[in-house]
Amino acid sequence: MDPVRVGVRAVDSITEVGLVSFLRNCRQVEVVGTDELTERDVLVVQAERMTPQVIAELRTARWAGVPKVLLIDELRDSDVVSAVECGVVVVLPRSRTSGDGLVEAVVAAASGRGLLPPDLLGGLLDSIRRLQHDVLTPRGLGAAGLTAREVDVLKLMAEGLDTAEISSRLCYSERTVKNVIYEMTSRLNLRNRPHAVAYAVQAGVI
Amino acid sequence: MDVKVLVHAADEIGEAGVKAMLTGHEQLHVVPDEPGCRPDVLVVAVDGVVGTSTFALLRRSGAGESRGGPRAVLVADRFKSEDLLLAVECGVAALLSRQELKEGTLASAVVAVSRGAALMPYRLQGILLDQISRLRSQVLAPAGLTLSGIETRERDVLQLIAEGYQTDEIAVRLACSVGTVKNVLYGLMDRLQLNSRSHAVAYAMRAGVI
Repeated sequence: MDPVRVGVRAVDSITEVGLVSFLRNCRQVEVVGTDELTERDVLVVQAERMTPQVIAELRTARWAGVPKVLLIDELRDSDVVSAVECGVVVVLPRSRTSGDGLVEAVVAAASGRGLLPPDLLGGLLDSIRRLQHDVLTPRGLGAAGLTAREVDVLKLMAEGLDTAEISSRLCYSERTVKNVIYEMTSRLNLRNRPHAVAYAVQAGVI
Repeated sequence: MDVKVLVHAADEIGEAGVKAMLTGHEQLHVVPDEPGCRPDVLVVAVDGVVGTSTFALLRRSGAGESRGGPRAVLVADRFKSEDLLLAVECGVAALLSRQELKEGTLASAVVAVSRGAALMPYRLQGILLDQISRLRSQVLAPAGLTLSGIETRERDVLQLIAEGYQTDEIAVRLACSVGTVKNVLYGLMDRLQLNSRSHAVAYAMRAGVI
C-alpha cells in the first residue's frame, strides 16, 4: 500500500516540528507540504481548544475537501458540530493518544473511516437529530435532507414518469433533472432511481 | 443511576438471549413492554438487515423524539449505509453487529448510550460524516441554513448582539421591527434550548456561525 500523504498544522512550531519528525519516521505515511494536499490525503491539525482561529484554520479553502484529523486537548460537545462542519473525521484527545494511535488515525481517515470518541459521537447524533426535527422536517426536507427540487422530482418518479416527462412537467431541462437525481443519489449512497424512491417513501418525504 | 431498558427481538429466543446478556448488570433493569413504562434505552435485535419494520418500531416507541425520548441500541446482521441518517432520526445511538457481539459488549453499550454516548463501526462513522458534510453543502447552505440549525437572519441578529447592540438598535440596523428581532431571537433560543442572549452568542460563536 502506498503511504498516505499527510500535512501537519499545529498551534506552535515546537509541536508542529515534533509531529512532522515523528510522522517522517513512519512508513505508512509521507509528510508533504499543506499546499500540496488533495482529497485523497489527510491533514493533521493540532490545537488546545476550538477557538475561532482554529475553526478558521480548519475552514481554509486550500484544504476544503481534505479529511482532517484533529488532535486536541479539550473539546466540548458543542464544538463537535463545527469540527465536523469543517471536515474533521477523526478527533483524538491529546492526552490519550500515542504516536501509533495518530498514525492509525491518519490511515483510517485516508480510507474514508471516521473515528470520534463515543461521547462526542453521541453529541453529534443529538445535534443531527435536532436539526432533522427542528429544521429539516418542518421544511419538508425529510430526515435525510432532500431539497425541495429533489422532492418534486422524486414525486414524479414515484408516479412512473420518465426523465423527459419530468422535465416538461417541472419546466427543467432533461440535463437538470438528471443532475438533480445524480446529486441526490451520490449524496445519500443510493444506487438508482427506484432505490431513491424507496428511500424517500421510507423517510416520509413523498 | 438506574437505567430502564426495553427489549425488542424478532422472536422469543432472541428476546431471551438479549435479556440474559443484560441481567446481572446492576445498573440495568429490563422493563416489561407496557404503556407508561418509559424506558431510557431501547434494545432492538434484528434478524438480518435493518429495514422499514425496524424504523416503524422505533418511531412507535417514541425513540428519536428530540427531547426526552429513549435512545436505541440496534443489534443487526447487516446495516445499509444509506439508512444512516434515518437511523439517527429514529433515535439510534449504537449500531452493533450481531456476529461480533461478545459477552458484556451489549451491556456496556447500553450503559454508554444511557449516558449520552454513541457507538458505531468506524466505516459507518466515515460514511455518516461524509453524508453530513454533503447535507451541509448541498441542502443546508443553499437554503441559508447551517448544521447547527441557525438561519441567516438569526445569524445577523446574533452578530449584532455579539457587538453589544440592544434590541431597538438591532431593529434599526436590520430595518425591521423590535417585535421581529425578538421573534427571531426567541425562536432560536427556544429551538436550541438557549437560556439567555449571552448563551446564544456563545453558542453561535462556538459553532463558528458568527
